[in-house]
Amino acid sequence: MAHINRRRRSIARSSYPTYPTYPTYPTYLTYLTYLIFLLSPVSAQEPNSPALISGRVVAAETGQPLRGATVQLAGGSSQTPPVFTDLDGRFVLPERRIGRYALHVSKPGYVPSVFGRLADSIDYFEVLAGQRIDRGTIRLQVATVISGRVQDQIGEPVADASVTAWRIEYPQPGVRMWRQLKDTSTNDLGEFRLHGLVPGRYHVVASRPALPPESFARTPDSPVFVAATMGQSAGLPNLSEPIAVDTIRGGETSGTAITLAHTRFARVSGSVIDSTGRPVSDTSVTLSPAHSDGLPGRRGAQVYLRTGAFTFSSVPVGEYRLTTAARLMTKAGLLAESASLAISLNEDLNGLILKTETEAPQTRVGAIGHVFLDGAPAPTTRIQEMLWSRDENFIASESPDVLSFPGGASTTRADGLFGIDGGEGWVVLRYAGSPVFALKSVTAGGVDVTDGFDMKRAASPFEVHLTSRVSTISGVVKDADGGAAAACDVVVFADDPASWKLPFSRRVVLVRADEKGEFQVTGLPAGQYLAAAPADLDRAMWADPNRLERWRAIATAVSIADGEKKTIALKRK
Amino acid sequence: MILFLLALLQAVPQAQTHAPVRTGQLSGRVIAADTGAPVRSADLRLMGLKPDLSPRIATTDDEGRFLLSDVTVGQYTLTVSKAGFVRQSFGLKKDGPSAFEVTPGQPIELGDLALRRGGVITGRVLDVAGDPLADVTVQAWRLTYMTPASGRVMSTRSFPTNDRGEFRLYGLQPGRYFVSASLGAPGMAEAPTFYPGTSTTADALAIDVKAGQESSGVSIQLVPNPYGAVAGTVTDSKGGPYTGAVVGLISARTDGVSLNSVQLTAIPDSTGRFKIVNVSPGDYRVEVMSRAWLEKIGQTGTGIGTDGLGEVASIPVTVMSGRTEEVAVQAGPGFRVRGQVFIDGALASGATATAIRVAAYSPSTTISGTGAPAGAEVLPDGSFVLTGVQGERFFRVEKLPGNVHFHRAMAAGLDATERGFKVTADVTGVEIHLTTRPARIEGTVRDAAGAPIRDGSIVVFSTQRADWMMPGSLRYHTARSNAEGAFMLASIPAGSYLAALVPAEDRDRWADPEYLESLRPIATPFTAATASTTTISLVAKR
Repeated sequence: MAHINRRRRSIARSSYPTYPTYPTYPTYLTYLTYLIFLLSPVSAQEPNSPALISGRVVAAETGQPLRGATVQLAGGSSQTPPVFTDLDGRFVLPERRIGRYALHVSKPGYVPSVFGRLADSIDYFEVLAGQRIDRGTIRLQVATVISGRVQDQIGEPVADASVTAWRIEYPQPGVRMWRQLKDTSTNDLGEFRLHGLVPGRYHVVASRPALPPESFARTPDSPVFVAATMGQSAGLPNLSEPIAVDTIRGGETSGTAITLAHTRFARVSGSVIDSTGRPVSDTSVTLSPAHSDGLPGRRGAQVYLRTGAFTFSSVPVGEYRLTTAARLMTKAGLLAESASLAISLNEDLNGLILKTETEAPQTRVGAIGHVFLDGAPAPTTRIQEMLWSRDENFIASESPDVLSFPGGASTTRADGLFGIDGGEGWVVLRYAGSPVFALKSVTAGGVDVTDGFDMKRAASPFEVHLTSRVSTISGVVKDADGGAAAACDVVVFADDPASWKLPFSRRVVLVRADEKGEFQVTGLPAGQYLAAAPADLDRAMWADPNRLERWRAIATAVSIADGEKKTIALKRK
Repeated sequence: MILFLLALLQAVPQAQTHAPVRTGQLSGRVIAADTGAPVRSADLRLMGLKPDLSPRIATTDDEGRFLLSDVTVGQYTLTVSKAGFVRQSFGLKKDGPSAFEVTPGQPIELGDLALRRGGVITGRVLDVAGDPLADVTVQAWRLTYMTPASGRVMSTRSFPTNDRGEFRLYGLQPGRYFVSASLGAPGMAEAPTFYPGTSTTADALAIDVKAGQESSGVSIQLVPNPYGAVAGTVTDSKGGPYTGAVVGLISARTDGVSLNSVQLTAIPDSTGRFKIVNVSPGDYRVEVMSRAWLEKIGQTGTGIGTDGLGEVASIPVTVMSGRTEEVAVQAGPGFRVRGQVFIDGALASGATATAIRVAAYSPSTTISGTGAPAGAEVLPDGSFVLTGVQGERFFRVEKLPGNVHFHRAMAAGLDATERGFKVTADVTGVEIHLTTRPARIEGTVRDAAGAPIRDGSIVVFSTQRADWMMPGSLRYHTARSNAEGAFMLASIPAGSYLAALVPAEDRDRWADPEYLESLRPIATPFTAATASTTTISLVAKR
């Protein structure tokens, strides 16, 4: 299920105390021997002359310089320790390793500069030896804090509970996903503070402390489940009942009390046999929650088989799916087999049999189609394929650096033929070539599937129709003082909200103005649009239909026809 | 990939697939060590010794009891944690009983598992202007003394500061701790700042943590503190690059405690150059030894046959923040120490002599370098030759015939038993005196009701504080009582001593001078005399 990027849990950061043995002289010798294995020859090479990266950090609201902010480089292989800003908010950071970096600036009480950023909105820059790089002014927004306490059902504090802040994001039109933005742990009083948050609406989830990290290394089948509930509810977490916290600007939401429910655990064990009835070894069995609500506490576990038998211990009761795969050696060659079994876990389930079967060969895992430009076969065109689960509870990858939508691009052959891979679930095809042309429509078996289709159900053949009658809306954005709004984000969206919720809608577009505040949007389908240049646009949230609705108030209306060119003037608000 | 669903839910004919999983049960109760009260809602994690035993988790009920059923047979340890207490593992070999054996059939009752109350250190991390610093990694380093003068630190869990710069280090085993704060990710070239705000490990202060108590107000002002480094060349006695060397840095902190979290060692390249990075500022010794020697020792477990394997050197160096100290180290073969072994004043000879092995230890017991012991077999004429010796040494025996005990060593007419002897040239005339009539201690430990205490831990130590500060001190001993509550020390130098029954949990700090000092008021004094047995009886105080 490649389209679910389930978050990998960061193993508890703690290192538990280890206890030494008595150092008698003989063990002391052993210790010396041990040292030998730690040793490796070091390179005595002196690095290049450093690049000097400078800038100034101010409070976004007031423009006041921020003293003592921590500045360091993110990305690349930097080993430079952080530097602090001076009284005037200025910093100079020497970096000896060349690479592509982003500045990570933080100051208690403010939102860290790369907090919750998606890859496309982090400003990376190249660092070369000896360069002087001025990054200008870095504005930090006042942060908000959610503090509270985690307790068990008898009201005693739960120490080392994992507490995470999640929010629903809209990084693309019609794409709604959960993302974890911050995590922390409770102390021995059960207290937590989720700080440095962008003001907004959060869902706070707490879970019992995970197993100590060493158990992960030691046992491949450690249960990675932890039980979690929110609020006063019992049972497993349910997305309909997280504690939602609306944080106010710069303030603290305190007194958030979370009670962890007592969760029952059960064991799941059984064996895997192939279609000929033989036990399968050298494979793995995955236990995953039946519903992809994906919040912590609903993670999967994997067991590696040696004898064909598997055991999952300490699984919180609930609905799960067991999956496995096998390779069957036959006269005809290797055959791939797989099995999947839905289980409802209330008490121990032992003696399950997972019998693998050959996968159906005729399942379509891709499609072939033709591309036409103004009705004629189009040579060498790039077609972008987006795969989308249409799962309301899609969980984004944990890393703010990565937000990738599965799919791929393919280039048509000279005769306009193209092929696309994958294709389980919802597929949206988009044109990814030069802006001289634009997508007009996509059809499957004569049916319009421009807004997406189910690969398994759609009829053939696919046709992608491009047009050379490209619409263009261009313009310039100015600030309130009349100056150019450099690098300002501009949103152009259809007047009709019906198209806002279509995954990867062509009628909702985000572009960034250049240094002169100039922008251009090409290839919009003909229709009525609104254009706005909101200040402090959050690229992870911009396609939220509620935000689009709010921006009506500051937007400029513009209508466009196929092939039409229009120019508008916008104010950053 | 499309996975086709095939659901088969039926009883397994076991012989066809795998052997039946045999299971047993474990039960017990968790109590507070100080009050004996049950601890409810404690987390338990049962971990198998073998990887195919999957871990289990459970929680205690209102009476502190727990029951783990359907546990696959095998050996396990049990880790118990609860807010306010020290996380503790039961069933570890060093705590006495070995891992719990779960057997099929009858339930296994583990009885009462006592949790010690943890100590807490709270405080804040501030920048130079006094503003709070968030997300700074704060770490507590437990000061341990396994043997006298061998203080070293063990890292415990680290915690980040919050947006107010506050930290709370909890669940700490009672003891002494150093606290450090460091900015940035590990691997960043920034050394930790130690409480009370020093980049130099020699100036770090230890904080006393008591069970169930909070040491608050630990404020650390974080100073920009890049690591220093030591680079240089190592040459052998012929003047060429010493490529077979291992270079180590040893902390020269006066109490011998090294606060570097990583091993500061390097192997020179083909030109004899080396560099050791990530060194906290402070005073060190650069110690050079032979890699072949180390490997030989590793293979044989003793220093026998290692004569002439490489050269050694030791020079002092001061490391400054953000700077690379350049050193040139010239190694040499070290010196020869010749001597004789006497038993009850008579020169040892024959088979008795050859059963003895003499060693010269360095006071730097924590590290590599010339601190490595030189050892030699005694010849039939009672003489021995130690080679490759350099720097401060004290003499001991590693192997003895039955009923013979070490008494003392003399070098150049001075006592070299409990005081280091500086070897700066070849030495002759070292005398190792052994005795068949040592001072002997016999004792018993009983509880307040007079019942013998089994597996009681006893520390016997000199009344003189200076004797605790000696590496390898002969005037510091530990013992464990048997089923009858009896213990015995076969040989101890004559003198005035104290003996005390101590908690086993404190074993990693029994030899801490501060710990021994705290035992003075409750310890039992006695005098040991040569050729006689002193009997002492200790009573547990509740």
